[in-house]
Amino acid sequence: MNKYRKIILIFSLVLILGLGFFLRAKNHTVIPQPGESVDEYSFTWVGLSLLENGVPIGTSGLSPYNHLWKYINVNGFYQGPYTPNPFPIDQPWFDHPPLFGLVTGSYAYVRGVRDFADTTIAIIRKPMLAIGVVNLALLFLLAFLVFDFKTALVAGLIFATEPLIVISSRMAQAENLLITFFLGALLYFFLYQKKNKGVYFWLAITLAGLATLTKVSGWSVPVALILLTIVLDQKQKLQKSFLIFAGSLGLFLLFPIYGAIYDFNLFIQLLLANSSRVYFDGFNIVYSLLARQNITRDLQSGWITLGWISIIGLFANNIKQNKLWYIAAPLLSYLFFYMIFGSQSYGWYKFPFFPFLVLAISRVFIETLENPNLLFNVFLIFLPGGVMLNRIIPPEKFQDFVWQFRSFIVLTGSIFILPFISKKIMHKRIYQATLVVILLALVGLNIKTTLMMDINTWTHLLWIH
Amino acid sequence: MKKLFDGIWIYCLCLGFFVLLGIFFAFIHANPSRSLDQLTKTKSIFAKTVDSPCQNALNGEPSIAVGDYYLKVNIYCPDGSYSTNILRYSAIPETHTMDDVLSIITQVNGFDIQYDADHKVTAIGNVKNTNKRAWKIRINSAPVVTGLKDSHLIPNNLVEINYEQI
Repeated sequence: MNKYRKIILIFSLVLILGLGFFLRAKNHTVIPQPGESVDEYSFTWVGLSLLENGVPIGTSGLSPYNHLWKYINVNGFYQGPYTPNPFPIDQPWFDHPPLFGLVTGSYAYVRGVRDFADTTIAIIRKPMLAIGVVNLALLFLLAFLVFDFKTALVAGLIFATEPLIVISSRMAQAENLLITFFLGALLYFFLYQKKNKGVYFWLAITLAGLATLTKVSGWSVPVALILLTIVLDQKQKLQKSFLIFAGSLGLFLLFPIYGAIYDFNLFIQLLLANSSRVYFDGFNIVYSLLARQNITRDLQSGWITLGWISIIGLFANNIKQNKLWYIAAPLLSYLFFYMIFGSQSYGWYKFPFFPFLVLAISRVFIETLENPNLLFNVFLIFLPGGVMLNRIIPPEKFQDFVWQFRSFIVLTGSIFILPFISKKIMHKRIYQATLVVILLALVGLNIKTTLMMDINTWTHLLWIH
Repeated sequence: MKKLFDGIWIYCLCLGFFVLLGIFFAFIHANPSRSLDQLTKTKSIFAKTVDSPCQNALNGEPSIAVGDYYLKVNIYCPDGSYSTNILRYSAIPETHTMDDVLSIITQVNGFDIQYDADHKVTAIGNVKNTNKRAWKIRINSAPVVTGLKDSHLIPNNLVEINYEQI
């Protein structure tokens, strides 16, 4: 890579990271509203109590605990629209491994927080802003290394600005850290496959192991690495797969050991209780995954639906392209764990799909520039664009724009059909330029939609209790 | 195969870090800097104090679980406003005294309460006792006469706090 290209790459990355940070930071203390998910507090309480009391203490709805009921008025919780009931305080808390709680808890501790009631959203979401930007950088780098600069640019722009992704990444939920380990592990695994240096292999395994200590569904990371090894590696498949498994298990075993030290009987009971949680979507699980986007409230995103469509399109044509497995392996692996563990009404279980769906859209977009795909172009405009415009201009006001809408369809339709009826390079350039302008307009719509998500807009969305 | 193990030290370093962290937690467990009660205190240092004890309320329909009960605490302010509160009985400290209940209600609803030397209420929020009117507390319509720390509450008691003529 020459010096000029390096400067463009760094400049683009900095610009995207800056944009991503700005959108994540804006309104991060109010959207999603404090108290809409008590998990955000619970994770932090676990970390804080480990640091101050040496015992993980959190809140949980699971029955094996002997709940201690406490009124903890964090963020004016009892002055909000939530349950007036006290928190069930549980110790030792084993709902999930403690790594993520240690991240938010340590940050709160460093900021001078000592009691649970002081773990306000303004404090505990600060590390999430950093994690959000790191995830954005990792996705950009993964797209750049595995594919090319154009794919990285498109993926970066979408991941930096898409409203559902931006708002999701503000939440102090373990899945956001899981994304960091997922992307990091894939990045190092790719470097290992490219340069054949053991250090990258072990960095990938270490991050995969850390993912299992973040949430049990983090096992999707080592499984994705094993899948990549089986599909892409030429030799030592079994040995490498075993090392990935054993290495991840080595770190994961710290969780049951930690459980055994505090209360192994309770640890086992909770494991069983977690496995018998309500399987919320039932047979609808995959349909809901594709059709419904939500966080603590329903927030439809055309980008996510487009991502699933792109995945299907991408693999229907290019399954033999090895590098596409860097999208397929993590998606399949996480989908497996998502379906095994069962879906829930709230949206954070779906967060780890987001970077890979964005990567799929970016890849199809770049391929569509060279090999026009009419159907993708229609979906690109009317899934993300349609959903966001509908939010900005409500359906009852659409009538004022119906002729502009029809003209737009005719105009873009004429341009998109150009490469099919003409071989002139000029016509192809017009098509490509139109598609790029549309993408930039969609990114603009992303920014506009994210910025308009204030308390008023947010509270009008359907709240998932 | 040997090349595969080239960078294993990174993994070992990470594993070692977590083992040390575990030892650190064991040390903290033996010498905690804060107790469970301290960690789970009700009021936040960021909470704003309100003037009126009737501004906030801890209300709603209690989802009464089997074997658990609630207390009702109604506060009536001189300006005609009121605050109706429902407290989970098991969330009140084991002594279950009127003093414990007032402590939780003031912290949750964010107002101050002042006492005299005999631990009798002299002011709730910005409403102080005067020669003519004072705060009176009743449990199931019976006035509290034995002192706040000696008045024990049982499940489903109704506490009424009124600013009334002496």
